Amino acid sequence: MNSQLLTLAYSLLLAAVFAAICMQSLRFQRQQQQNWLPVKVLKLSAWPLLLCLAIIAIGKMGWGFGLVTLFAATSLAAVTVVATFTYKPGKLPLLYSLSLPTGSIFLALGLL
Amino acid sequence: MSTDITKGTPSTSYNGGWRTSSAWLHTWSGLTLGWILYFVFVTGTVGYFDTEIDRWMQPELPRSQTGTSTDEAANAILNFAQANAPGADQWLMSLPASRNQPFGSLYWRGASIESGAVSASGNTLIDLNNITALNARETGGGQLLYQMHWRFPYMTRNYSDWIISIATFFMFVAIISGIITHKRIFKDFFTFRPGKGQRSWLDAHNVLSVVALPFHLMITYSGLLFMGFSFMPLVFAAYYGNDNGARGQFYSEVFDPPGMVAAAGVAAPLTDLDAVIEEAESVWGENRIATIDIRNPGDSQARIFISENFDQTVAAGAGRLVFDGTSGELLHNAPSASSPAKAVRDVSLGLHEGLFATTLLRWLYFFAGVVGTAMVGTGLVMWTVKRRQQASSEIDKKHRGIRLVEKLNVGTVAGLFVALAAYFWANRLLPASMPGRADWEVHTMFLTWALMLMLSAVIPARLGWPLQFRLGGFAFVLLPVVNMATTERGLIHSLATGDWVFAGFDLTALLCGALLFWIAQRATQVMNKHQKQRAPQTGSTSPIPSEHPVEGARQ
Repeated sequence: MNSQLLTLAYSLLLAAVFAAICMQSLRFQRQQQQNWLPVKVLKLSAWPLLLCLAIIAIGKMGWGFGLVTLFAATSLAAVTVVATFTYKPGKLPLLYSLSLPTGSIFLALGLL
Repeated sequence: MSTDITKGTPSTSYNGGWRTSSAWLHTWSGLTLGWILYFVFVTGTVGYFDTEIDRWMQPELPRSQTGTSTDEAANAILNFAQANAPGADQWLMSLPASRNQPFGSLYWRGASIESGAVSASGNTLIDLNNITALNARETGGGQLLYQMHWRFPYMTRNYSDWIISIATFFMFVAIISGIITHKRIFKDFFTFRPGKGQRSWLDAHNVLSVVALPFHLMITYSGLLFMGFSFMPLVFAAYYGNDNGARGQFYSEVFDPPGMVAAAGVAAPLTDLDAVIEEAESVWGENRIATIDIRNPGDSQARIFISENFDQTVAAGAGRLVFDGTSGELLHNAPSASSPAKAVRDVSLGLHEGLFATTLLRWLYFFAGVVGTAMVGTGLVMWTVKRRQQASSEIDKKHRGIRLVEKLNVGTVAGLFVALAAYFWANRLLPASMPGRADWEVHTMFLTWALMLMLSAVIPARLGWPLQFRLGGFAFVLLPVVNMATTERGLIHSLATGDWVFAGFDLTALLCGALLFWIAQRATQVMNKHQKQRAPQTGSTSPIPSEHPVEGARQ
């Protein structure tokens, strides 16, 4: 298990989670004329992924390391998504579609 | 944050209601000691890289020697101790075990000058390659900077503890009351509306508070626990009494390793250290020893206390093994969590200090600290923004309070960065052999801060904000240049040789400087825009000139 890679993976995957949650919001829906992904799909990808990430973090890294990594990465991811949504809302789908696969690869590599 | 949701403006007057009273509490608990909290956040955030700053501030030191094996390092330090501190009561040998301890070091006391000791007591870093003392300039380094966030310079420990404790308590109250007040905490999670004046500051404060809320709660609550024995002395006074020795007895029982004995005065050779290390490693694993504390070396009652490196656990408490110093027999195996209460305390302190954090996680800790600093900063600024708006309808008042807070905000929120940079500049520019050099680094920092506060007192805030941020920007951007001019470990050299501690510091200074320039630029733009808007309004009703960037940003 590589804790550096896991921290990186969590930062990316949580950015994807927050991007998905943000894209479900009414404000985003109102701003964007067309839905990039249906709200249901976004919901289904965000909340279960968040739960999985929490379970993996605690299961693999323990309560201490796991929760610290999860919350620390949450702050960075949330700020990234808020900044993107504020200044370049049209780039949120890109952020989501880049961070989700990249984060998943890092997560797999980190867990190996 | 105090918010009247329907109007989108902060409401801080106490006129009943759970949320309203929470808003009032939030505003005043945040403002009263807000500048102290800001200082605590800035120095604490920087403190996450205390060891790296230590190394940057002592450029004479070689690269980290953490790769050295435990046996090799321990024997090298022991040889140094026997040669330079014979007859000592204690040799505390710190091994280069992790990022937190990049060099071997020896602390000794009670050494015999007659037997050839260089001094009766001392503390030195040791070059493990040639077993000599590592000499570097005197500096407070990152440790002192970190220490400032829980112990103020220029005052006694007692006063400092109380001020920090009360400020931390106020912070905790501010966080809890802020959560109660901010009822749209999830709905507004992604909401930041720039360019809308007071509304933008409120959004920024809310976002900064919420995105790192677990960190803010953890750091404040664990900070309270950190100061618990000062803040809540009755906890141990109830059991140990309140006399002078009570605190010492309490600390001794909780923190001292077991099996401490006085010297017998009978000479006896020290046991083979390798065997002791081998036994310790059989308990904890290889290279898990952080310190070897030898009491009464050369006496028949010698004891060897070995502490575990705790960089792989969140809890900031070390397990300890106690050996007989002559026979090498293991006498005690004392786990760090000697009681559930101590375990809770160790975990809290560990989370607070983040000594276990790997490089990337450490950066995330730093980032969360920056967010916390910005949260306090935006809270302080918002107090004046709201009151400036109210002031526009109260032409008969002088509003000295607003002016005072605004001046303190400029001198602290912006000026502290100049002071921080001055601390690093002093490290490079003060003569290396200057007596009291470390103290003068601190004096430079606080004199600069005082200067920034004076500057903010004499010039209008609309000029003060951009000026002080710009000064901070210059000071940080030029720091790598000063480093390059005064040492041989400039940025180019560091990058070329892969010296990431030095390169990281210089690059962070550049980034910090660039960020401060950007903030200064934004503040100037907003001021200019506001000035243009105000120009045609000859009959302004505001009794105080609108000097704040925020009001000018209103569109």
